[in-house]
Amino acid sequence: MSERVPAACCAVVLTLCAPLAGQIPKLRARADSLLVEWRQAKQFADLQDSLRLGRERGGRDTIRAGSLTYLVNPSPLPLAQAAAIAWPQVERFYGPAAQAFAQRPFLIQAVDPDTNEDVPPGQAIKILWNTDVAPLARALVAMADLGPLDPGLRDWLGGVVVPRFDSGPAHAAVYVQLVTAPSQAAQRCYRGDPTACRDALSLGAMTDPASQWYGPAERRALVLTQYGDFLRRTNHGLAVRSCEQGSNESCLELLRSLAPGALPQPLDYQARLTFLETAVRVGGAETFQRFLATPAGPMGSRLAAAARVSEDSLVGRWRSDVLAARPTPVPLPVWGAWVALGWIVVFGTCGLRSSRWRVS
Amino acid sequence: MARQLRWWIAAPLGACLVFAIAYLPPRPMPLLGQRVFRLAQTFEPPTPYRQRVQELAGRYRRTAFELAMREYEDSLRPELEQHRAQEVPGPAVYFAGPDSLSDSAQGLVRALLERAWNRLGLGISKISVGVVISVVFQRPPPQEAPAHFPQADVDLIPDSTNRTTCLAFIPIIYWGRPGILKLARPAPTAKLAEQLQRSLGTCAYFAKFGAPGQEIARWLTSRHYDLAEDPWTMRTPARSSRVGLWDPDFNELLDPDKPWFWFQVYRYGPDAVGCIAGRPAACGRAALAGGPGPTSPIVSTEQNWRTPASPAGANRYFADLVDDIGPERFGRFWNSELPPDTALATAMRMPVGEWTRRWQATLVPPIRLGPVAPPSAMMLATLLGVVAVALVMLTAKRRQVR
Amino acid sequence: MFRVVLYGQWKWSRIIVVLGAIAGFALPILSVQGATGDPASALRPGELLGIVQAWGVLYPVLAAALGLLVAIATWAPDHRGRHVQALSLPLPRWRYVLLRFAAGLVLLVPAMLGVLAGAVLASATATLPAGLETYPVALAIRFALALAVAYAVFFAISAGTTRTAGIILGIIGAVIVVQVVASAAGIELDLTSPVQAVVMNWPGPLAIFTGRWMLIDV
Repeated sequence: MSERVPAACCAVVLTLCAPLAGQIPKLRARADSLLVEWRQAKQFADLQDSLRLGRERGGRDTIRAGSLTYLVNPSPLPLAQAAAIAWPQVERFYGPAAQAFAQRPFLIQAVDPDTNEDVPPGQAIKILWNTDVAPLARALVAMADLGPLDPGLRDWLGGVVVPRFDSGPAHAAVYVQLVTAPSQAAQRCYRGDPTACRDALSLGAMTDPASQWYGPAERRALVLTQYGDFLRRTNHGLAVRSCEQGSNESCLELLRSLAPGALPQPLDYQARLTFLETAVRVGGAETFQRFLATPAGPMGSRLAAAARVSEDSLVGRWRSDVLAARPTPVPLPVWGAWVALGWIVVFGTCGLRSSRWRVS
Repeated sequence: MARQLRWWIAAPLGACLVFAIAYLPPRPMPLLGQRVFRLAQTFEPPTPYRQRVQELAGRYRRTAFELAMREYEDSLRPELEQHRAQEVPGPAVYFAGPDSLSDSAQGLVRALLERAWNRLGLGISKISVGVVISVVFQRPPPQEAPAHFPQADVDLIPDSTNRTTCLAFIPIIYWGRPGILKLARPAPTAKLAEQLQRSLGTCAYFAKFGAPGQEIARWLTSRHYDLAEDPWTMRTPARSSRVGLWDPDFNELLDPDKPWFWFQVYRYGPDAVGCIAGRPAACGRAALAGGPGPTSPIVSTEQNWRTPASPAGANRYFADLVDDIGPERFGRFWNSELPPDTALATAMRMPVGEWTRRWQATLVPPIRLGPVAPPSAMMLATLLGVVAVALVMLTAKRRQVR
Repeated sequence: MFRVVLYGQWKWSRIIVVLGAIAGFALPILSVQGATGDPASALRPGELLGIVQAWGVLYPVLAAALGLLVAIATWAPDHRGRHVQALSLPLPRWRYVLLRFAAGLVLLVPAMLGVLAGAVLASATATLPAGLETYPVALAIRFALALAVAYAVFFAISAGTTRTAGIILGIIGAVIVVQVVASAAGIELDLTSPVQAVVMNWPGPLAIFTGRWMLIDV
């Protein structure tokens, strides 16, 4: 009796297993064949896409300026002139690394501004062909982005690399951020703390951004004003209340629980771009080339190595540039007062002409 | 005067006629937003080759995931057999995924699942339930093959190959964030407990009520069991509380005070919108409609953002029904061999549309469709007009020439 | 007497009446552009409803604008002549006011008919996705009522003295100024939202203007 029970159980198990045991190999075979078919279809689709891209490029004019190559449909767009202006800027910024553009022609579709016809779809960059040379040159400079060559740089910047040396407005905007950003890192950087500048620009390994960027009062404000609704809805109500009542630990834990990248950075993309620009300016023409050769790691040390200076020195130089670009307060032009006076006279005359003052 | 008036009548009529000829029947392109962003990157539709690639990727994902679930089922079989043989309540738990939990974390998960099991009153289940906890701490590196592990709860419901087991796949994904289960000795939290209870989902119905009747099963399978996504709460027969307790996302999306409210409402089909407006016929159609697409033993809770499940809040339809009518009556419906409309109406003791209408009103305040203003608003407006004219008549009496 | 009053008001406001009628006719037709049976370019129900909802904002705007302009045109000549001609007529003043009001209302009928005709034509020619319906008559009725209410309100305001208008505008201005100053001073004071909610949302007297004006809906 006792020997029959295990045998019976095995029989039951085997009976139950039989359909399942047969199904797993079938499913595995089906999955494998689907994977092969998918790979083949993907290769074929990639081939079709490249043929389509080739067709899209056909019948276009080729305009070259240095390593920059543009494929554009025939039109009045002053692309050659603009490219001639853009290339020296691009080369000055990227140095020898700019040769990489030779392998990547830009596809441009010049669009007639005077019709309402639909623009043909495609990967080409659409530009109205009545665009002036100067703004077109600026657009071409902005398009010359070598950021994709270094995923770490792209992630750190949070935007494209614009190979332009700022004449002042960008640094002025960064100055305003340093002064006004609700972040202790930004404010201490303004006051001269290089470690705070590194934290604010995310130049090092940001292991705990919530405490590196923000002080207790700033964390509380972030939790209550920016993430309060979200945190309460996701069952963190008690912790939010605790933070509101002054518990620094609660505020810190709540901010740490957010998804990576959700916390607002104290300084924005513009600030990081100016830092990159400072590194290139300090290190000279081959800085970008050296940067691409550095191994992956914290951006501060990579950029400093590329610029051939210490990280502290580079940060200090960037800070000096930003402080030197302090915006002019209350920019009232000299002629502004005269214009205001003129309008007062005009409206006063209109008022005196009112029928209310006329006897007839 | 009459000739002049004739011109003043003929001219606008002529203008209207010209306008009607120009714009009727309606043109294919709407006028709003037609040429606003002409130069924005125009997105091409995917080529037939890319569509084929996407279709094959979808089939591969479904097949590969079903294979993975069958393999998990295989791994869990000894424990499930033991549960059945010894009549042990509770699910069999398996920990999978690229990352692993500490022993304390695993113990916590098991304890919370047991607690959820008891809270749902599942006891010795009619159909065995296995739970696969897939733990992902970091974002996985890019793979050559399409990723096939879902990021939402998925159930492998009993089918012809295995009628005795329901498998629940619960992904716990942190992707670099801190997480309670990453700790060496995690403490239980209400959020984790609720997540695990909710994840028992469809399997809880199989565990409590067994396999559904044939017609009911066919209907629910065509809908991918969307009405049975959330388990009940086993409270007293009072209706489940309003939106916000279980589904904060739903609450946020269909909040009439939010600017995106009408956009969210119109994501639903006409019957669901009609149900939100309090039309019982529309509610009945929305609740009883079958679903499109191929049937499969894999049931996913991943939200379809383009066409959400109908009616609004469908994921908690059966959960609220169980809370309202009690598990016994619901069980009779679940196991009934009658058509779904008859079985539901019998269980609800009222027309399906009427119960659904009342249920819908507890989730979303009824909306007004069409341009008709509320009668009260029309009366108040008329009153305002009458008062305004009466005031003028009164003041005109006192007017003097000076 | 009514014909004379009507003719006078017609002369003062015929441009407004004609343009308003054409605009009322055009609005429903423009809102259904995109509702075709062409499968290549058919709008999804949600998209079509979004477009109709966006155009629907213009109905109360048109009603308010027409009501305002016709009301101003009704009383402007009397104000210019300091009401001498009106007060010298051999009929009670309250009756005179009623005649003026009725004449203005009659002049607004073409706009109401324009909306009705446009809505009916648009409904008849639009191809709708399954599950959607048109409400041309309900829309026209609501427009007519809103137009009449707007006209009545502005009729009352226009009939008042400069001092009355000044008081009303002053109150509105004071609320806005207090709100702006409070916002600038960082004080959490919200006056405009409750006032707007009381007046414009139900059960406010102007609730008929708010809400959705959907020619096409589920």
